[in-house]
Amino acid sequence: MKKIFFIVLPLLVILGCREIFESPVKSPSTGYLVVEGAINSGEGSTIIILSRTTSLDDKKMLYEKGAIISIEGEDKSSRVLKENPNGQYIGQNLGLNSNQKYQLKIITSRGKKYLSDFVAVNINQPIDSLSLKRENGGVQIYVNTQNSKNSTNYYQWETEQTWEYHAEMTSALKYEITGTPNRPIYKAVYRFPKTPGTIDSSLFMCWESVSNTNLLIANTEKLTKDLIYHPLAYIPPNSNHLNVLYSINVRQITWSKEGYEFLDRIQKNTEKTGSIFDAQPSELNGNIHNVDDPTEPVIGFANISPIQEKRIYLNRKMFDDWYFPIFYCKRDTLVNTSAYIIANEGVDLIPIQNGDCFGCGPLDVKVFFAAEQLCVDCTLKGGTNKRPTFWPK
Amino acid sequence: MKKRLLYFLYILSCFIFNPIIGQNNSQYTVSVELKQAKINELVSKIEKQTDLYFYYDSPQFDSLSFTISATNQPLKIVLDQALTPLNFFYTIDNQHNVFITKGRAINLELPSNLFLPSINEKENSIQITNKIEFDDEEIDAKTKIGLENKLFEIGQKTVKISPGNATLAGYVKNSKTGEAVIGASVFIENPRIGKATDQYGYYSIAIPKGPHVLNILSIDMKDTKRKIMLYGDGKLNIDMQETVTALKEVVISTQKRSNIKSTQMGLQKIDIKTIKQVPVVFGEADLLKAVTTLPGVKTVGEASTGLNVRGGAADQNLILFNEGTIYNPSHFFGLFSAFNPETVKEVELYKSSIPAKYGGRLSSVININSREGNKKNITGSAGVGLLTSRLNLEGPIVKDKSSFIIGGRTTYANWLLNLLPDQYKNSKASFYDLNLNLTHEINKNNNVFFSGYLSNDQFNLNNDTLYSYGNKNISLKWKHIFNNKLTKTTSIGNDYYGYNISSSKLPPSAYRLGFDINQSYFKTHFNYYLNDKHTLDFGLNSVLYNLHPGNYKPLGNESLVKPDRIEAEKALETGIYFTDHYEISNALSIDGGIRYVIYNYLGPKAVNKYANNLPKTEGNLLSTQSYENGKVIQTFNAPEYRLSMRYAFNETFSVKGGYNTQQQYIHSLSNTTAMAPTDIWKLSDPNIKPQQGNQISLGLYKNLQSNAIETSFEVYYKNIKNYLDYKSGAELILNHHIETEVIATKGKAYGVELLIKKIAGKMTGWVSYTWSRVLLKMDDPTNGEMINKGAWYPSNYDKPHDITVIGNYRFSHRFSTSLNATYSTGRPITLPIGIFYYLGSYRTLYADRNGYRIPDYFRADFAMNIEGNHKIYQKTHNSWTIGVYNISGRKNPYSVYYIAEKGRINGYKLSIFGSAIPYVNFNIRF
Repeated sequence: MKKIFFIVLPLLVILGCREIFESPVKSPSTGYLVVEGAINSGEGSTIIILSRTTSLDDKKMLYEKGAIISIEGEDKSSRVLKENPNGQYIGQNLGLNSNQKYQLKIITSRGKKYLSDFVAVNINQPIDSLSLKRENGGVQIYVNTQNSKNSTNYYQWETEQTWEYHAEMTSALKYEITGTPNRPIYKAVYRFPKTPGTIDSSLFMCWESVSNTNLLIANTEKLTKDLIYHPLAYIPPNSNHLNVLYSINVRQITWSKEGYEFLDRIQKNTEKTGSIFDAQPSELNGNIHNVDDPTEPVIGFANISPIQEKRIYLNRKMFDDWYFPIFYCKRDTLVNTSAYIIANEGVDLIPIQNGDCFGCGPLDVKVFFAAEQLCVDCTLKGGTNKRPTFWPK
Repeated sequence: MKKRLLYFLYILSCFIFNPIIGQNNSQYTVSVELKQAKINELVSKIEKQTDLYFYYDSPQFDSLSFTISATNQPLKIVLDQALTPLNFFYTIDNQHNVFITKGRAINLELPSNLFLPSINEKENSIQITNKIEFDDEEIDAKTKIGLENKLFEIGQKTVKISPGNATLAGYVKNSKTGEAVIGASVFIENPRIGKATDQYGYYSIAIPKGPHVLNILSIDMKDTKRKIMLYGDGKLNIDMQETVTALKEVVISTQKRSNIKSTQMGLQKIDIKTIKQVPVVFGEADLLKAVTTLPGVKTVGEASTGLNVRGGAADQNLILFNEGTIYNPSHFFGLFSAFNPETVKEVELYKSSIPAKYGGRLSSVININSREGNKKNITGSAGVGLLTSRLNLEGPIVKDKSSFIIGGRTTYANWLLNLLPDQYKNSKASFYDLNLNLTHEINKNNNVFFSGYLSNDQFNLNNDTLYSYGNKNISLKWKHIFNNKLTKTTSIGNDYYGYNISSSKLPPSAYRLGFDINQSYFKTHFNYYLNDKHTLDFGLNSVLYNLHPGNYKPLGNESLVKPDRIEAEKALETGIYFTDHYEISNALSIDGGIRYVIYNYLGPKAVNKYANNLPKTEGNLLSTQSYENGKVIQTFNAPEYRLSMRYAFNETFSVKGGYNTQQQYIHSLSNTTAMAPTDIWKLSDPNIKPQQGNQISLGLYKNLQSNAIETSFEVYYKNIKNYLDYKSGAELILNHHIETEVIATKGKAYGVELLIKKIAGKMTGWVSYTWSRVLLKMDDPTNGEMINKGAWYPSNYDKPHDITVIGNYRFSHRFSTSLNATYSTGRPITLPIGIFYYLGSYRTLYADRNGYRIPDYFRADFAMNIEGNHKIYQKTHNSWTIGVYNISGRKNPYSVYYIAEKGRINGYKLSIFGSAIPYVNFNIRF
C-alpha cells in the first residue's frame, strides 16, 4: 500500500454565530401580578415586592401600589406589612411560630384578593463558613452549611459583594471658575484653604456594590448528608475588588421542595437557555392564586424561613500572588493662568497638587499638577463615594 | 467501441506484418495423458511442451471434459482428436497463439472489405478481440457472452417435458466481489413472471417448464440473461457485473426496480453511491442526513440526527442496522450519524406500508444493510477528511465461501468546536465506531452472517460534566433454504445502548450517572412461494428488554452523593405475523398482513398506583406494589393490520393505497428539542400506556421517459394516541415516578408528498416537496395539566413546507458535481410573552407552547467528486471530494432563545453553521 499523503487546506471560517434576535411578534401586555420575596420568620425584615409583568419590549418596572399584604396564620393570627415606595411592603421581626402554617394574603387597590397556600416554616441552619478557593487566577467563594438533622434542605442565597477602591491620585486642588458661561476663567485653588494639604476623600475613596443577578440555588436531595458546598461568587483576576478591602454578605433562605422547584424552573427558563440540549421553556405556576379566578396566572411563591446571614472581609494581602493592574496616569504640569489652562487642554483635567514655588504664600498656586478625571475621581469607575454603614473604619 | 477498434487494428497489424502460418503445426509433438480433464489441464499440458499460447472461451468448456492418451504425437492429431468431436476448431498464428473457437475456425486472412466502414464488420471484430486477453473488462465481456449463450439445463432431464410449473431459485451475486445483489429483477417475458431478489440476493420463481430466457436486471449492474431449459425444480446462481455508469442517456427497462409494480408504498431506498454524492457538512457522507432529503422526513435542525417521519417523533423510528436496533444513531452532538458509510450498502426507509415483519415503532422503519465483504480478493479503503479518518478492510476468509469486512472511524474534531458558537466553546468531543461483518456459506442451502457494531462518543459541553454514550450490537443470522419455495431466516442478537454522565468539580457532590438499555432478540422469518399468485411471509419476533433507567453513584472519596438507583425494568415483546402477497392479476395485487403483538411488563418491580381519574401526581400516589422476578405485571396485546394494494393502469402508471396500525411499547422521554444523549427510554407499564398509531395513505406513481424519471404523489393521514409529551418543568432524569412528569397526548398528522426522481443519465437526482402538519392535543383534565388550554398545538417538528433538490451531474467518469438545496418552514418554538422582575433580574414569562416559529431555513451545498484514473491494474484508486456546505453562507437559525444576563433579558438567534463551509475529503481504495 502506498503511503497516504494529504493536505488539509487551511480553513479560516467562523462557523456558528449568535446574533441579537428581535422578536417579530408584539407580545401582549399581560399585567400578571408578581409577588417577590421570602417571608422571614426570624429576626430582621421581611420585604415583599409587588409588581406586574410587562410586555417583552417594555423595560419599565410596573410596581403595584396601594395593596394590603398580610401574613395570616392557621392560628388566626394576622400580621400586616407596611407599604413603602416602589411596591415594597415591609414587616419587621415577624416572629412566626415554626409549628404553625401561614399564608400570604394580598388585596390589591382594585379589590382583587389573592391567597397563597398555607406553608410551613422551613428550618434554616446558620451558615458554617464562607470559604475561598483560587480558581483560574481569581478567587471563588463557596458557602458551607451543614444541617445536623440531616433532613434535605433546599437552599437559596442572595449575595452582596462590596469593595472599597481608591482613585490613582489624590486631589488637594480644584478649579475655581469665574467669568461668564461663555467666557469662563479658570484658576486652580486649594479645596480646603484652612488645611491646604487635605485631599478630597470623596473623590479618592469609593465603594462599589453588586448583588447577584443569577439565581443561586442548591439542594441536598441527592446527598447522604445535608451538607452544602456551593460556589456563590467569583472575584476575577486583575479586578480592583481586592485592592483595598472587599466584603461579601450572604443571605441564606431555605425553601420548601415545591418552592425550590419553582425557582429551579425560573432558572431553567431564564438562565439556562440556548445550549443545544437544554430543556424547552415551560409555564410557571406558583402557590399564590386569585381567590375568585384560580386560572389567573400569578407569579410568585410564598415561602417562610428564618434568614441566615454571614459577612466576611477580604483584601489582597491574604493572597500572596494577587496581581492587580496599575492604571497608568499621566501628570500634566500647568501654569495657573486661565489662558494657559485652556490652551493646554487643562480644562478636562482635575488639578491635584501645587507645584514647587519659591517665595510663594501658603495658598498661592503658580504652577500645579493636574491629571485625567478617571485617575482622580473614583466615582467615574462605577462606585459611590458614600461609605456603607457597615464598613469598618 | 473505440477501444475495441484499437484492439482490432492491433490484431490486424499482426496479420499484415507477419506471414501467416495458418494451421502449420507439424513442428510440434506432444505427449498428453488425461482422464476426464478440463480444458485448462489440456491447455497447460500442451503449453508446457511447446511455445504455444492458447486462447479460448472457458465457459464454453465448463461442462466438457477430455480423455486423451497420446505419446509424442503431432499436435494436430492431438488437437483434432480432442476438439473435433465437440465441434471446436482451432487456428494458430505465427505468434504461436492458438485460438480455439466453436463452430468454425477463425479465418486469419484479411477480409476483402476490411477498409470499408461496414457495420457487419463490427460483429467480426468483437469475435476476435474477445479471444484476446487485453484487459479485465474484455475478459468479463467474454465470460458474460459465453454464459448468456450457454443453455442451462435445470432439473432432472427428461425426454419429454411434462406440463406445469417448476420453481427455480438461486443467488444473484456480484461477479467481482461475490456480494449479494439485492433487489435485482429476475423474470421471464412470456408469460410475464418476475421476482426481485431479497436482501441476500436470493430469488425463487415458479415458471412453466420448458425453454425460457431468464432476464436479470439490477441498478448499477449490467443487464444479463440466461437461456434455460427447465425440466423440474432446480437452482441457478447468477453472477452479474457492475456497470461503468453509462454517460449517455440509457433506456431503462420497465422491470428495473419498478416503483410502479410493487405494492409497497412510501418505501424509499438510497444506495451508498447516492449517499456519497449528497454534499454534507465537512464531507462526511452521512446516511441519515441523506434520508432527510426524502419527502416526509424532517429534522429539527443541524445539530440533530433525530428524524421525524410523517409527523412522528424521533423515538418512533425503528433504526435497524443488520437486524440490531440502534437507539442513538448520532455522533458529535448529533452533527453526524453513527454509521460508517464505507461498510454500508444501502438504506431503506419505510414510512407508510411497513411490512408485518417489522413492528414496535409508530412512524417508520429505517433498515440499514451493511455490505458483505469481498469474497474474491482482499481490498480496502481509507479516507481522510477534516473531521474523521476511516479505514476499511475486506476480503475472503475462504475464497468464494466466506468473507469479512471490518471498518472503523475516528475523529480529531476538537478544533471544530472552537469554530462553533459559544455554546460549544471549551467543549471537548471525540467518537469512534467499529463494524465487523462476517459471512459464510456453509453449503448451497445454508448461509450464516455475523455482524458486530460498536460506537462510542465522549464529550463535555462547555462545562465540567463529562458525557459519554455508545451502542453495542451483535447479531448472528442463519439463512436456510428448505427448497426452492421455502426459505427461513433466523437471527439472534443483543443490542445495547448506554450513557454515562459524570461531574467531579465539586467534590462533595461529584457523581456518576449511568443509564442503559439492553435487549436480546430472536427473530425467525419464513418466506413461502406458494405459486405465481401467492407469496407468503410469516414468522415470529421476540424482544426481551432490560432497562436500567438510572444509576447514580458517588464519584471520589469526598463525595457525599447518596447512591440512587431507579429500579430496572423488564419486558417481553412478542409478535407473530403473517402476510400474503396476492397477485390477483397483472394489474392488481394486494398485500395483506396481520401482526399480533403480546407485550408483557415483567417483575421484579415496585409499581406505583395512582388514584383513578385523577392526574398522576405525587399527591395522588396511593400505594406501591411490589412484584417478584419474572411475574407478569401488565400485559398489552393488540393486532396490527398492514394492508396495501396496487392497481397498475399500464406499465408506467399505478395507484396504490395502504392502511396500517402500529403499537409502540418503548418511549423516549425528552424535554429537549434535539434528540439528546441524555434522553430517557421508558417501557410501557401500568401507568404508561403503549403508543398507538394508524395511518391511511394513497399514492399515484407515474414513470416517464422509459422509467428514467419516476414521479410519485402520496397523501396520508395519521392518528396517534398516547404520545408522551412532558409537563412544564419536567424532571426526567433519575425520577422514581417518571409517570408524573409526562402526559399522554393525542396527535394527528397529515400531509402531501411529491417526488420527482431521475435515476439515469448524466444528470440524476430528485426534487421532493412535502406539505405536512403534525398537531398534538392534551385536553383531558383527569390526566394532568392541560397544554395550551386543551387546544391543538403544533409539535416541535411541525414544519409545514419542505422542499429539497438533490442533483448530480456527471461530466465524465472521473468528474461529477453535486448540488443540493433545501428550504423549510421554521420549526415551532415557545417565545416569551412578557417579562417580570424577580430575585435580582428581569425574567421571561412563557405561555402558549410552540406558539411561534423560528425564521425559515434555507441552505444550498455544492460538491465536486473527482475520481482518479480508472485503470484496473493499479495498486490504489484515489478520489477527492471538494465541496462547500451552505454556499450562500446563510445564518440559518437553529434556535431562538431569551436569556437573563446581568439582570437584563436578551434575545438571541443561534446558528450552528453561520457561514459557507468548504471541505475536502480524500479517499483511497486498495
